[in-house]
Amino acid sequence: MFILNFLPSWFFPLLAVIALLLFLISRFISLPQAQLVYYLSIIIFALSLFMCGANFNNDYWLTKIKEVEIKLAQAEAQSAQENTKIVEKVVTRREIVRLQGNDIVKYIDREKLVIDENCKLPELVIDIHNKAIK
Amino acid sequence: MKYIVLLTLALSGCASTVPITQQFPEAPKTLLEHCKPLRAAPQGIELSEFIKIVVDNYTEYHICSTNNSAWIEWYQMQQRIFNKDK
Repeated sequence: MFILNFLPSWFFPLLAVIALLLFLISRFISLPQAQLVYYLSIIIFALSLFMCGANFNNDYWLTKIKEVEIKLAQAEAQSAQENTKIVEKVVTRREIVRLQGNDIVKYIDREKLVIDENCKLPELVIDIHNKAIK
Repeated sequence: MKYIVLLTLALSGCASTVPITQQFPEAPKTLLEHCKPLRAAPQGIELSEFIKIVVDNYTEYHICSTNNSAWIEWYQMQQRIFNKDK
């Protein structure tokens, strides 16, 4: 509740006590305007009780929000930790794949003469390959 | 006094907004790279050069496949983390 942001939590219990005291005073001590004080004290007491309940409800939800915020922060930290693990795994795997590719290319370079010796590549094969990569 | 009571009741209806916003989890930048296009072979090249191009293309496929697997793992892990406390 908006109003609870500006008032301390002890305000409404104090108001309720004051209203109760006013009620008792108006009942047992003769005052000028006793009737007005009597009815006002009842209204103020009811209102302050309502606001005490609202304050309690507000505090309850604020606690819940704090709990959720903590859980979210934990989840974000765990997520960041797992992200690092995934990145490390991907980078390692990519490096292995590149090294394997380079090894094969080096092997092809070493065996270049043997590979090219008796084989002329038909243009059809290159066409098929180029079609397949599109 | 009457106005104070009315004002109190009126203001008590103003609910404050809940100050929690859950951000969509940020994916690692490494996973955000696109797969490179495959290399085409020019006409009239030797078999050894042609095989090199094929090997390069396979290498690119494996790198892309690694990225894809990492995305799947990332998604499943994020889902597990963020659904844990619900």
